[in-house]
Amino acid sequence: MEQELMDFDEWIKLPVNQTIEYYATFKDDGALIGVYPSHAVADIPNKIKIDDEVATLITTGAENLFSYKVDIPTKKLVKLNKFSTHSLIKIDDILHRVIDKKWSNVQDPDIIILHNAKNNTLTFSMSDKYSNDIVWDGATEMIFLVTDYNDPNVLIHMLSIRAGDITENTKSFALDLPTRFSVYTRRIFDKYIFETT
Amino acid sequence: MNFGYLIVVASNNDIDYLKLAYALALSIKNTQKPGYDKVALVIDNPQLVDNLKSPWVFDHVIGWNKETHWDGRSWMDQLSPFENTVCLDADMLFLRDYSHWIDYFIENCELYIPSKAFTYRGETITNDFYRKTFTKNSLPNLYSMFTFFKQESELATEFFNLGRYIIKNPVEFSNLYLAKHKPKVVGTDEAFALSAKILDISDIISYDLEFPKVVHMKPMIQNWAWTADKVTEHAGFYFNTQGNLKIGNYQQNSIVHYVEKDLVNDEIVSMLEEIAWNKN
Repeated sequence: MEQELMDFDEWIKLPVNQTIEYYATFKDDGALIGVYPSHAVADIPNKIKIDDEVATLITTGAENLFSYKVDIPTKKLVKLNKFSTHSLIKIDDILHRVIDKKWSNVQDPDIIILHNAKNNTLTFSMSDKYSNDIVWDGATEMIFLVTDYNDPNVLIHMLSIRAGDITENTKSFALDLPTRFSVYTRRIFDKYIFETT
Repeated sequence: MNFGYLIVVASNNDIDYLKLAYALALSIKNTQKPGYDKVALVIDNPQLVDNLKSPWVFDHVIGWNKETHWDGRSWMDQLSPFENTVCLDADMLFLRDYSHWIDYFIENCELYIPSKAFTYRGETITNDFYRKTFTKNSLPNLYSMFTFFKQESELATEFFNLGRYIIKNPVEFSNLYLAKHKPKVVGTDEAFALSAKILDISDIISYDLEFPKVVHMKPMIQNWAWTADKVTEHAGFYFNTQGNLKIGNYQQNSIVHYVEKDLVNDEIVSMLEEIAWNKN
């Protein structure tokens, strides 16, 4: 018996489910292998559902598979942040003076250094934008040099902090500090700010 | 003795020349002896001076808008209120007392323009990267950023008159005297050098002296083995609350012609103000 075909104009008007769910497949250590629409990974055990936004970033090449990994214990996708986000080219990158908020135009700083003049403490914190599911990649030590005011040739204190220490928490140092001093660092992030309270 | 420093500035959309002149005047007040620390400012809009925290650093404020940009400096002899004047570029800083040299100039010179400048490490600049016009056309290597002159000097008057005439007729003078390497702009340095050459007074107005030692911070003449867009990309600029300046790890004692206009920012101006207020 001959099959009767639907009228083309009626067929084209039929609603189609346009929603595509994306999954990332991964190795046993959590490294990503690929990003696929759901129907393509039905038989693969190591898979995790990912946001459309992340899938788009990866499939369009804006980010790559190595920017993410699966945290195996929690089965969550985490972003691996490249530790150094700033290219070290100029002397101001290698020996960057953290400018006082009073003199700076920096908005939305990545690293904030808070000086409590009363308690003589320096408190280091990081912008909230780095606090969500970020794993820092590689060596993450940041060295801060507390020096004479605007003179890195005269070193007073040298402080070492790991990025992870201040991603979701702050880190404070009680120090013997002069009335005026400066803080210099290797410029790993783009924007630093110094503030006195 | 009637002596003072003259700074000529004009409004500019990109650079706040008044701020630079203010910082220079503060540094003069902070470092020079009384009697050697007078400063006159020539500016197209004198009302702006009232907005400064310490306008008193300018002993004279002269409204003048006949020329724009650096051409105004060529009128220094007619604008100065002093009998003996050193005209300076605005983007300079004084770092210690040089007043003994002013006595020397007043006693021995009618007009003096240095022919040497120095790197931030104290080496004499020999590289002609920015001065091909001078070397190719055998001009005396004058740096007008520090020009001493006596008001009543005929030599100085003749020199400045010709300098102005050259600036007003750059094409004619370039074709005639600078044909081997024409500058894009006949600025004050070129005009003064050509004026000295035509008048044949180079040896009278620019003989070898130990002063002024002006550190010139143009990047390609720092005797570096690499090219650079700015000195401060490779050496830090560290000005402290005592008014001392290190460039890289070299302490500066000479006059610094810092060139990069954004180096003297509000923070440095506030430090200079604080020193001036504590001194007075």
